Amino acid sequence: MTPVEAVDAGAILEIRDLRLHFPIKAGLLKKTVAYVKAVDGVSFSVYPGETVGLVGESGSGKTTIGRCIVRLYKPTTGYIGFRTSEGVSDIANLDKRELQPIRRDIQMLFQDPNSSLNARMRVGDIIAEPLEIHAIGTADERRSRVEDLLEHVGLGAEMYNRYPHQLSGGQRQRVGVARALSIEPRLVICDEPVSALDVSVQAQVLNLLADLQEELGLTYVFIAHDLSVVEYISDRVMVMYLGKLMETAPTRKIFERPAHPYTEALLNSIPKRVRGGHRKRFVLTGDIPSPVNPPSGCVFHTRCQYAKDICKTESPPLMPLPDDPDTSVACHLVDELSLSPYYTSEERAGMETNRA
Amino acid sequence: MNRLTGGFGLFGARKKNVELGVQDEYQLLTVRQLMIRKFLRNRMALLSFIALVIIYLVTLFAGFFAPYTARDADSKLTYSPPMTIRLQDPETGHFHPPFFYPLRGKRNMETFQLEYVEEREKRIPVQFFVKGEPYKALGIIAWDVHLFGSSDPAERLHIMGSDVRGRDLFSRIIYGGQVSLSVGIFGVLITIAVGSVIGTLSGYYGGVFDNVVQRVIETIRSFPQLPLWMALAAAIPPQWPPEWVYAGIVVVLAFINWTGLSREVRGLVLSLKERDYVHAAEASGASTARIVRKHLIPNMASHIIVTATLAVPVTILGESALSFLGIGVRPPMVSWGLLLNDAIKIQNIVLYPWTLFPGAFILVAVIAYNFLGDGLRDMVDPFSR
Repeated sequence: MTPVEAVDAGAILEIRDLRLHFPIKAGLLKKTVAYVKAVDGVSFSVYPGETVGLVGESGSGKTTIGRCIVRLYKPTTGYIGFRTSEGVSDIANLDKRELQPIRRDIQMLFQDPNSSLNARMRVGDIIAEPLEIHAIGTADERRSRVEDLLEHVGLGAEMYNRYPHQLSGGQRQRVGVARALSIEPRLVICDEPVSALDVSVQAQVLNLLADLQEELGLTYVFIAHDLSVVEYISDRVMVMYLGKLMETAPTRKIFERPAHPYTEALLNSIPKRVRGGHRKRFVLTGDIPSPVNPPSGCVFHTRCQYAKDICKTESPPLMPLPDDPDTSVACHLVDELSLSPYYTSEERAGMETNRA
Repeated sequence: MNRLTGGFGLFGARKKNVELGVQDEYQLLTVRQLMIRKFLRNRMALLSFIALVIIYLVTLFAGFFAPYTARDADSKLTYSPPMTIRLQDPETGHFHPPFFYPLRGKRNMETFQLEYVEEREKRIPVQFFVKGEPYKALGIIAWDVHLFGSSDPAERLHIMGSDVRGRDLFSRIIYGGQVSLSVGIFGVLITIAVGSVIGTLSGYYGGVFDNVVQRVIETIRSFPQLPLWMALAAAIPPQWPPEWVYAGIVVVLAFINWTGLSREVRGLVLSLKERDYVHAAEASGASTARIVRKHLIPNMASHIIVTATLAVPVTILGESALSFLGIGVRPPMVSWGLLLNDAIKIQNIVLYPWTLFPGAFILVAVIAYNFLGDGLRDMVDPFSR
């Protein structure tokens, strides 16, 4: 491991100017004709013990960022600093052998529990796989650890010899959770872990994740497209669009005071009843533009209802708000716009009293 | 706990599930149990499987099941028609233990054909576990007991007739099966070994290697199959001993077959390596060897077995075709295709129609393998209806 100078001293994970451009090859000689700019200059930090929500439409590059962090993909350029007890190492530029010890600390939880569990393996063997790969413990120790884990995620040790097809969707995702936690990682990348589940089961799995975080001091990067899920579990939210960050803010502020037109549009897409009727608001139309030829200037200007001329030519940097350094926004018009919140702070307060 | 199985139809109403500790009258079935069930329900596949097991056992113990050896000739009985094993005397109507009437050849002075008539005066009993010509069971154990045969060594029994040199066709078919059926198995083993290794490598690593392999496969497959086989078989040196020629034919047949399997495996690997469980293993730091061994092979094995089963009849037919045309295995080796070579002339088919019997055996073996392959294909996907 090569220690790298960390800029953000408190962060467990610090990403600076991450880019991943997939080449598009065509023709007989497989010449590279263009690049898919899946992630295009993203920087953020994650602090120990917190949950960072990463939201955006399909194709916004959120899953790609997650896969870069666990190094399923090698980033084109950029820096991914991960803090271990021995210092900070740059995951983005390690080779396979150097990555091996770090893989113990970072695990991924996948979206679809049907495809993330090998149908030919028993539940116990699936959960024990990371332990086996890192040669942790004897076979007996691994078995008892797996049985503990099964109890821990609410399945029971008798599931050890089951096959995935004998489990329900929620149970399968619990197996996925147990596998991710088997080698005691410090950072878990959750890639839409509940979007393939029934709503009632979603809540169970989210609660399980929250409990485990508290108990084990885990840090989550939580990728989702469902804002209500993100609201429930995240401390901070990062909004992505076409490979770039649009806004990062504490969860509550995202809902109470969205600062980017895209965030507002996402919030508007959540169905909500206002005074007995359906809320009618501006809703995003069309698809996200192609990441092969992203729009010039601000990538969101083609779908932004507030877009002005400057948006078409100049790309706005992600800047902290002057009056609120926790919130950063990439928008030229941030000072001019007054965007509608999902709920006002009074509504929020009212909801919290109701809950209590 | 009921929810576990609901809607899947995966439980048999037999035993109490001890493992679950519940009292409901069902049990969870493993994938393997489901597969076996599915296979047993497919009657044709099951029947074919049993037929193939019998055919293979008979050819494996050819010395015992065949009344004569493959080279045992009788010049007095050339091209003798099949002899009937009787239980009833056609004249008196009396029943006897199994017996046959020996054939006597007589030259027809108009056509100069040797014509055979039954010698009704002589009733020769058919004996079971009869001592006859010595042979080596499985190639090692010397023995001389045959399942059945004529009780009189001087009077030969040809239940499927004999060939130009008076050799028993039935015995030759059984010995020929050793070659024809083993060519299928060995050819497919080579196909599996080469096809799956190359397919896995080119699917998993891609890049230049994949590109080169795919172009090679396209080139091989762009030739018509039979002429290519013929060209390759013709390249086998004529001075080679028959055993080498046999091995050469196996390689020639596998030379085309591996391309199909390799493409199939490549496609499977391409799809499997993007599954999340492979990503999960990669994210945990699993080595490529581990991913191939634990995740790719177990998920491909069933498909490879099905493809291989369906490739066996193709290989058998290929060997038969080459031997029929005289460029396959060479005498003194016997194979079904080589035996069919006797029926290559129309006058032989008219005069000695029994020389077509080996074709019937090829037909049965090929059909059985195809039904078996279909059954296995259904079995591989036990959740389908």
